[in-house]
Amino acid sequence: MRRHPLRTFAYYSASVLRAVAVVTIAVVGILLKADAGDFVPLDKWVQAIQHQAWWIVLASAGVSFGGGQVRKALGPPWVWASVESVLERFHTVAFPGEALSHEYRVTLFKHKRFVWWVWPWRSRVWPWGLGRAPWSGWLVPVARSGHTTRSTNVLFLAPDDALNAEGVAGQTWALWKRILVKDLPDLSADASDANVKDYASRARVPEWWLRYRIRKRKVCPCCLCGIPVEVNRGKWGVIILDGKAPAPIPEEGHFYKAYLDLIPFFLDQILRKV
Amino acid sequence: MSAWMYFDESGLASGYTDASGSFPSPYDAPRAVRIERDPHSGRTQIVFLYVLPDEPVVPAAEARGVCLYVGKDTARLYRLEMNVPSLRPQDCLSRVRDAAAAIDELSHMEKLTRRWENYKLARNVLDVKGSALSDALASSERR
Repeated sequence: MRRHPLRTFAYYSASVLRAVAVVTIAVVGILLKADAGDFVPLDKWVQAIQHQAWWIVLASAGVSFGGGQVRKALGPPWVWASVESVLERFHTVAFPGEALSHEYRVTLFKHKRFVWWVWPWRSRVWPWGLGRAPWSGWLVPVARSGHTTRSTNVLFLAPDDALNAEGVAGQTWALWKRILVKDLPDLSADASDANVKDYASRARVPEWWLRYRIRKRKVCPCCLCGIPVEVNRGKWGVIILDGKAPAPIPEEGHFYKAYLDLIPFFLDQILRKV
Repeated sequence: MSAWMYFDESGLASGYTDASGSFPSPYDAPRAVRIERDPHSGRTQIVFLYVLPDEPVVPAAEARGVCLYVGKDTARLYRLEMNVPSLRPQDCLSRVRDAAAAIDELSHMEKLTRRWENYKLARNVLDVKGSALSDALASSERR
């Protein structure tokens, strides 16, 4: 998830470093034109700076550029805090009466062309799976309602060859439609082969991935709803609602109106900043 | 200019649910429609409103005397312009039907097929709201 104390620390550290680098360049620029004799007793320092100016300016420019890239990659923490607060508000509409918990969640996935790493590995020798690569196209979770299950490592393949898109998230991305899958078997109660096969085929996820989740005692929701997300008139990602109870997701009526009132315009405006 | 006629998007969208349990993207479903007369050309226009409204439009195609204006980036149908100066309110309903037929014809064009679902929804809006639009034009003319 993008809202994380370490990420927040890194963002503000990069901001401070960038500001220091810019001020350093300005000060060195001013001192280059100055007469060191005017700065007694600091004249030796001024002379030293004038002699070393070329690499100080170069290093500061590098730090400034690097800081900018880090800030750009992480996105402002307040954006992610705002996105999560809206997801939580939407959660209360989508799952009325259900507490914010790991069993009922609203998750925002961003489509990325490139990911450095996937876990669990999709093949024994190649993390991204045979025939796939880091640049195959992936849906990465960036924000989620609630305070639990935040250190998720789930990724869904959303490649150009859309037939191979994984999960309801991948299908939503590929078809660019709202997709609802209800009444999936409760694998926490009965993880028989038949149930796993049924779940895998209806939710469009690989069986090995399901078995991994069962082994790790991770949530396998019984109901999934995928909704596309557009930002700046382009395809940005998807929102996935998942619930534990067999059919808690109302696909019509006031739920949909609340979605339209809360989500599209807000996300379109705020996610342009990241 | 008539007021926006809002409608139940979910009901409109659910009309096109396919067997796999999928619904059109919320961005493709019009939220409201209105009819107005362009003050410069005097031509009647049917305008659709979406959840993300601020997109420039370009003329995409023309059939049955109806010009389709679609979003520059998304190709969503934003406006239908009837190439009849000073359309009389009593003729409006038949022109709305022409507009619906024009959508049918033009949505098969190669450059427009990627948004066929949006055009189906817009077509559905005209079927459902055709007479209301006609009445709205008549009442705005009387004012």
